[in-house]
Order: sequence, then structure tokens, then C-alpha cells
Amino acid sequence: MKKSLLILGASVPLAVGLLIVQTTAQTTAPAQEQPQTTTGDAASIARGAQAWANHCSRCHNLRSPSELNAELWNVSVTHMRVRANLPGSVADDIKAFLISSASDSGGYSAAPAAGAAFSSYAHLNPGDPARGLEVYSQTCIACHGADGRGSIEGVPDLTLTNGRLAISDDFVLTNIINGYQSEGSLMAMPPMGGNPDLSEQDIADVLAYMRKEYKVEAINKN
Amino acid sequence: MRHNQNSNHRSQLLFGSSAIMFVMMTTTAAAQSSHVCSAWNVDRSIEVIAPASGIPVCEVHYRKPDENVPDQMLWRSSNSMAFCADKAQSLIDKLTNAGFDCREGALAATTATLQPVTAIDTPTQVAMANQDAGQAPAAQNQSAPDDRQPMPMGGVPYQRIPGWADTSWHLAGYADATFIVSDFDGETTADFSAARFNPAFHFQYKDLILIEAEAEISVDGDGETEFELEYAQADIFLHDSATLVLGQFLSPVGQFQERLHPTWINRLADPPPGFGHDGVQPASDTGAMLRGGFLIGDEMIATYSVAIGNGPRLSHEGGVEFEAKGADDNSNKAVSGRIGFLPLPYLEFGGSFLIGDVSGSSDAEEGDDHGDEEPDDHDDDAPLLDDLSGLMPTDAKVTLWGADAAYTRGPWDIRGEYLNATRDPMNTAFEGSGGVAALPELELEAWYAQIAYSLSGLTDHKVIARFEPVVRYGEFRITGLEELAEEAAEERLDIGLNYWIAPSIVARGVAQFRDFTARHDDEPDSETRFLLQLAYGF
Repeated sequence: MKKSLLILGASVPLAVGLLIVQTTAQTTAPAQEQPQTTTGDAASIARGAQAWANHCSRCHNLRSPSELNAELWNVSVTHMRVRANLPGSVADDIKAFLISSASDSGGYSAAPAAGAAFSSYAHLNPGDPARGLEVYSQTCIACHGADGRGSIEGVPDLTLTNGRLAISDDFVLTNIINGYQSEGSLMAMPPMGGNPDLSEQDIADVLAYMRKEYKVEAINKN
Repeated sequence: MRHNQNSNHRSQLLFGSSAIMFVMMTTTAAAQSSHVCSAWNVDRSIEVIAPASGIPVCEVHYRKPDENVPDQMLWRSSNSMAFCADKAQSLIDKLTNAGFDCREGALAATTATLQPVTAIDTPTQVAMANQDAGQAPAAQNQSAPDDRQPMPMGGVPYQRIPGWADTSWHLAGYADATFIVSDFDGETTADFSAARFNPAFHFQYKDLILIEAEAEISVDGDGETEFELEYAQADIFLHDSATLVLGQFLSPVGQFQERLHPTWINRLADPPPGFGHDGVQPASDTGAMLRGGFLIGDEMIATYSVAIGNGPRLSHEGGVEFEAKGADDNSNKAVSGRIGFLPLPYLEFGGSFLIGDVSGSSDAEEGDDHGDEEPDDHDDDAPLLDDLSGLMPTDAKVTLWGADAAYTRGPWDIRGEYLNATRDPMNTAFEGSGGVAALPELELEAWYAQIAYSLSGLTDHKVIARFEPVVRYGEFRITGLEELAEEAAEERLDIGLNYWIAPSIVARGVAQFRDFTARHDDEPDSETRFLLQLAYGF
């Protein structure tokens, strides 16, 4: 009797597993042959930024995307998919975000060295706050929150009148476009907020939105 | 998916119209500057073009004649020639740093169709150029296999993705070192506690399987090096919401053991009472587990883990050892698991269980704790009668249940857990009994509540923001075995302060006040400890 129960108990997870394998094989067989399934489209990266902020901080501090390179993030997030019981689609989104922001990603080059000249973005059109809200809600909101005060540990409050936005537009744009780490902060913001599909004009629109919404003017407008 | 289809249609329209425009415009465009970068028998051309129409003012073109890909228009500007010049120079610099030899000049004209940009000054095409600079591909480039055409005999052509292989691996883990000052029974001791090193190896083959294993290497108080296998498992990805785990795995029961016990994740220097070794928290098991998670709507997630394994064993003291063994000492496997629910991303509730048997047979006592016992050939259905006591060894059922909750939002980390395990009465020849003896029912109960708050929630100060005060109170109660209770039952208050050097490197100090609640009247029943620890998760 005991052995029967044992066999039955051992068979249940295996049977369920085989059933799922069979079902999956029928619907996604071609995908099984592909080396990687992380697509990294803009929507996936945006969802991944939010999922990264939500799920990774459930147990430990968020590690900066620049800590690992793209290949290491791929393996590390696969490990975390198992450990944190993340749905595979959520893990893929997190991979897309981290890989696009990783230290060796093909996005924008690293931030200028200290003392280097900041870029001028005079060639951009004046920022459109309405479009900026759209971009902010898809990417920036993951870490900075809907109210700009920061939704995860260590993210600065953007609404402070003497805070991160109280500098010239060119400086803010340079920081967002190239990525930035505040002095003493544990967390670096990746270039383009981790979404390489954004354009410089998108960032200018986001800045226009933040200045309007948070009512923070540049102290020195150059 | 609908979004992607729309995007594809839009891209095709833009591509088509832009290609026609490009063919018209390139007939009159003038090159403002042209460079050729060469390395490893490949050439790359970077050109700044000024269309004769003046709209846009300039474009930066990138050509890879040895690859069967369209030429790239990386940037363009409607009003600034300097913009294109700067961008072209930055790309030349990047290639130069990667080992290319870049000189002014031009490659022979190409008839390849130009792949246009879809927005002014967009960076999206730059990734391909960056690959030439020795960088691993960005996420968007990994979609390349989707573009491969099926072969007549099935399958897809071989495609080399720079920087990626079918097998990837990652060395992770953690290490810590602790200094402990203890005041116990009027005697003060100070020790550099043994340093610990826990490397974890992750090997992944495509998106099909992950092999992972963690070892714990430490030195005990006598200088002996201890090497233990924490887990060694194969994770087979069956479905978006199902992973089959085979091997030795950390117990899915509760939160602490599986997710929080590494010292860089644990907010204090050691586990809560009852949640470490020899407690009520199951540590690991050997067997099979099915686990995964489901999205419910946009944000809610439900998770599950169900495992079947060799299960717990009776300890030498008559307690229960919840640690993985390479063999089973009875014919009943243990089933354990946890169900989790996250109504909000920062709020989690969980419920855990374990049902298994422990054997009272004396054979079970012959092994040690190292999990290297050979399977015994004892017939559990025919226990031996002890002549002195007149008792026969019996098996006993072990049942465990638990609940946990966590709130982790912004600077707050608030969590608590409760575990309760019961072993039924049994007869066993445990150590020191001199034969078969009857053991009463044993109940193990442990809980803790913990609050941590990062001062980054209060200030952006570069030093103060890295501090995190922590308070935890926990209790471990044992009913049914006096000797075990005397040794391990306790109430503990921890007050700690973390300083985060990096997100996964912490220096901490902890004041720990322990009350041993089952000691005899003539024995000291309290201890105060101060722990200094450095922990690094890598």
C-alpha cells in the first residue's frame, strides 16, 4: 500500500510535467530550437524595467544593471526565474531590460568622464510634455514612480526644487541619455533609462513633462 | 502581438518610402567626410552625408560590405551638421578603441539597399555598430534567429551570434566573515568566527535547462575545513509557468531558507531562532519538484512549488532533521511545498506544508550527517523487538505547516514567518537510550517578525542614505523533548545597523539578546552577543 502511494505520488509531478511538455511542444516547437528567446523589443524592455523594480527587490537590494554583462544577466535571471517562481514571460522582460542596460550593451556609450564637456542638445525640438508623459509612463515610472518621488530604494526625489532637475536642460539630458549615478548612490540609472529604443527627442519630451509636472526649474539655465 | 504587427506594417511602409527617397536623394548627396576602419580582414565605412536637398542637413551612414546586411543610416539631423560629425567621430573612436585602424578614405560604392532610421537622431541602429567594437549584442539583436528562413529539410541555418553561445555560465554566490563578542554567564569571549565562502555555479543550455549547484566551504572551531553541498539541481523549463527541478534542492517551505538565508540578503548576521540548522525550517531535500508562477491580470502573481523527496530523518536527540539525504530510511516519501500570492508587487503572502515520515529503526541512527550513507536493506515492515523494553521501533508521521508575509516597498522591508512541525509519538533506538524507547509527541514551533528601513528614504546624503536599521524578534519553542528544548528553545531580540557599501556588499553590526527559555534553574539562561559582519554577494 505504501509503495503504491509512493509510486502514485512520484508519478503525479512527472505526469503533469510530461503533459505540459507535450502541450508546449505542440504550440511552441519552433521556439525550442532557437538559441535565445529574449526578443528585447521596446515594449518588453519597458515591462522589464517595471518587473525588475517590482520583483527583484522582494528579497534583496536591486543590483545595478551595469554590474554584469549581457550574457551573465541572461544566466542570472534564468536562475532567479526558478528561485523566485517568476513566470517565464516576466523573466524574459527582465532580461530584455537588464541586457539592454548591461555594461556591454549596444546602447549609448558610457557617461562622459568627470570634467568632460557635456553635450549640447540645441538641435532638438522643444520638448512636448504630452508626449513626455507617454514616454515617462512606459519607462521612467518603473523606478521614479508616478509621482516622481522614487518607487524603489535609493532613487532620488525628482520633485525637489533643489534636486536633480534643478540644473540646465543640457545637463539633465546628458545625464539621462548617457546614464548617471549620483555621488554616493547605490544605483546607477542606465543610458536612456534602460530603454535604447528611445530617441533623444523622446528624452527632451520627458524632461519637458517633468519640468511641467513637478514644477522644478533649472537654477542655471546657461 | 497586435502591437508588433502594427509596428511591422508601419516599419515596412517607412522602409519602403524611405528607401525610395534614399535612392532619389543619394544621386545628389555629397559626402562631407568619409572614413574606413579596417581590422581582421573586414572593413567598415563611416560617412557623413549632406543631401543636396538640405533636408535633412546631414546623415551618418555605416557600411559593412562583407556582411549581407543593408547599409545603416545611424543618425541624421535636421538642423546641425556638427551633430552628425560628432556622432561619426564617436563611432570612429569606438572602433579604434576596439582595435580597428581608421583612416580617411572611401570604400567602393555599394548597391545594397539602405536601412533607414525611423526617427531623427534615434540611437536604435547604433547597437549593430557597437557589436563591431567588440561588445556583446544588445537584447534587440537576439531576435535575429526569428529572421532565419526554414530550410527545405526543416531546421534553420546555423547562425553565429557574436558574444553568445548555446551554453552560458555564471559564477555567483556569497561570502562573509564575522567577529563575535559574547557575554554568557559572566564570561566574555571574542572570536573571529570562521569565514564562509559559498560559490554557486549556474550553467544554462539555451532556454531549455539550467544546472545550478552551490557549495559551502568553511572552517570550524577546530580548524577543520568543512565542505557541504547546499544544492545541486537541474531546472528543466517545461512551460512559461512550470519548471521541473531534479536533484538536491533548497526546501521550498517558507521564505527564509530558499530566498533569504544568504548573508548579503539576510538583513541580520544570522538566521532567526529555529530557522537555521537543527531548527524547524526544512533546509533541503533530494527528489523532484515542480514549480512556477502565473500572472493574474497585469500585476498580481500566484506562485507554487510542490516537491517530493526522501524527506526528514530522526535526529540523534530524537528531534527531526530536515536536511537532504542521498537515500531514504523508510518507504514513504515526503511531500512539501509552498503557495504564494502577490496581490500587489510589493506585498506577498505564502502558505507552506510538509508531510513525511521518520523511521524509528536503529538503522536510521547509523548514518552521519553527511548524506553519504548507503541505502540500507532493512525491512521496515519487520522491526526488531527490543528484549529489555519489549518495544518495537516504529515510524512516525511528521507534519509541518507555515505562513509567511512580506511587505517590500521603497525603503521598507517588513516580513514575518511562522512554522509549526509535529512528530507523532514513536518507538526508537535513539542515541543513549540503551535500546528501544518510547518518544512522546514532539512539537517544534518558530516565528519571527522583522522590520528594516533604509535611510535613503529620508535623505540623499551620500553616507547617511546607505545606513539601514533593522529590528527582529523571534522565538523557537520545543515541546516533548526536554533535552532538545533545554539546548535550543529561545527568545531572541536582534537590533542591527547595516551599511551598504554596494547593493550586494554590506558591513553590519548587530546586538543580540538571547533568552534560553527551557534551561534548568541552576543554568545560565541568557546571553548577549555583538556581531560584526562583512558579507558580499557576487
